[in-house]
Amino acid sequence: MSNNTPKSLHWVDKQLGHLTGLFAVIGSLAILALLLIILVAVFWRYILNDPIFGIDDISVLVLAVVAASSVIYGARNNAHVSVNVITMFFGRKVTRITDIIMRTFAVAILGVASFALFYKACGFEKACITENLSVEHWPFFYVLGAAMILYTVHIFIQLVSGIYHFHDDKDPNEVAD
Amino acid sequence: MEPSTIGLCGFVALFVLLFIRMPVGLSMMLVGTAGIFFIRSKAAVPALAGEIIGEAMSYPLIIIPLFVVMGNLAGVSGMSRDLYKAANAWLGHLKGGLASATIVGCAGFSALSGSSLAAALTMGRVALPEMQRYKYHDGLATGAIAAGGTLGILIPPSAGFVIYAILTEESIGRLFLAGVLPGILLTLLFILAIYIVVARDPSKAPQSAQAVPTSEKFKALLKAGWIIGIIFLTIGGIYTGIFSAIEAAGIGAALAFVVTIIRRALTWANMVDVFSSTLSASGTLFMILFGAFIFKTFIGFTGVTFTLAEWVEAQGFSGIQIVIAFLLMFIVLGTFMEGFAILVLTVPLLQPILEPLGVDMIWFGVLMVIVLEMGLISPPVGINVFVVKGIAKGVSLNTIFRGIWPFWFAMLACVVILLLVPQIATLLPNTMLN
Repeated sequence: MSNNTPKSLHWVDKQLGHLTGLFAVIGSLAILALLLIILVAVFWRYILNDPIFGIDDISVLVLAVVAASSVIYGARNNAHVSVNVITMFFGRKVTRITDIIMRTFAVAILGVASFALFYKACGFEKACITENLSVEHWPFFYVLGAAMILYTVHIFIQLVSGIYHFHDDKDPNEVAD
Repeated sequence: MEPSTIGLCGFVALFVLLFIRMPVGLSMMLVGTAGIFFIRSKAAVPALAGEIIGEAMSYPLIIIPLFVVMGNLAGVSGMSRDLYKAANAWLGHLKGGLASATIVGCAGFSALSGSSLAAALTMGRVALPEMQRYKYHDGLATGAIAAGGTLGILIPPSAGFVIYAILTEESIGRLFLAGVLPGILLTLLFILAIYIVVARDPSKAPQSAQAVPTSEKFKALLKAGWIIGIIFLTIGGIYTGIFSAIEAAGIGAALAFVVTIIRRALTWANMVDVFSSTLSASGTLFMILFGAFIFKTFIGFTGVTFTLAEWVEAQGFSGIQIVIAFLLMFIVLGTFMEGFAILVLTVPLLQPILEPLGVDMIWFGVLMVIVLEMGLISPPVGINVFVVKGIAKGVSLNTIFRGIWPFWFAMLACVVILLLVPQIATLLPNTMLN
């Protein structure tokens, strides 16, 4: 974001930053929890010779939280890989247009993914409960869906910002740099 | 429209989206979902949700955040520095020894971290000032760091192997073990490359570190005992079948955590650094996997792989001819595409062609990862080179790329050796217990 970007966009971006921070905290705690779960599982299985029933269920649910947090945190930190070959052939005059097209597509597919996770996740191929403990999946689908919504908003902000800076020499949100 | 035609259109659309800089995971997700929609419209949205959930809740993927956090903890706790110092004590006095010590340090760090970038960055920060102090040629010094870093995705734990295993449904543990001997071989070939460079032009490594007494060498080795112990415990545990790759990741990460506490490196700033890096790296991989699996489902719907496999069979090509052709294709792709992107784009297409020809997918996985490593240091988009450039501010990109060539040829030699002697890759997985 540059100083020329509208204040409303700055505000939305700031709120998104706070929410991403929250996801980062939750994600970090989930990684720690995952570590502890594996340690407990190993201890009970190999030292006490008494595997804990359903502990794998807990670990995959925690992993879903890690995945959701890491996807949005990665997006905010430009960690998602893209191929920057276009700048070898074309300059800003072309990339400002292709960036708008690319971001529009990205918003569209992320929007569909969010919708799919909230409304279409259950009932496809498998039941919505874990294998052993029968824990319901839906809260974790919603966490993933929420992360996808935040990612959608993040790209949407970049899209609007890119349009706003269309005539400038530089896009403040170059994706692949 | 025929499904196979939709499949081909999908590939064209994918390359267009990648060309306009759409993130790899999102490009594959978009093309996969749209492609399924055109073939079986009602399945598209549920398939998208199903694949995202399938990967986010995939038990084998637990390994990713755990190994990434282990590597990051090794960095902040100073274990990686100890490893470099130990390698330096043993090799530093030899001609080009500091560069060789960097390679050994990178190999050791790679056994704790699955990331090439992390290996290059962590070791580069420690090794580059030392090599500059002894007036090593910038090209040799930076080339050694960039090339050494690539060992990160060959020596287990390796993020590349995890993704390959998930895509091909091979065992992560077997793939990890398959990377051990080729990783050691490549380390030795890198050291040989340094020896040849310095023998041809001694001015590239004009000074050597002073030889240290044997007692000091062992003292340095003892200080690196933590990292060496964790490496042996995790890889040894997988090999002996005492625990699975996921359990090894958990134990390794927990031990790295304990070492960080013992060394009083568990500061708030370090923890923020460790967890934010872990989340970023995990996010990269998860997003690519979400996209890869919806794309794989789409490819399955089109039947393109079946048509390709039939065509290859009709031509009468042998397995080795096809493997060599694919490796050459990866070398070319690696010059402009990111390694993980190549992996997820091509593996779903290649596997149905290679398996009927009797190609061992574990062996092919090792070859593929080495060739992708070559892409990490190939101009113009070799990511490791840009990481090293970030550390070596005063060194031009041209100098770094020129310094990399000996290591690039060492990798090529490694690929040729593995093509001739596949047992180097298959020995450990075939002899592992349980």
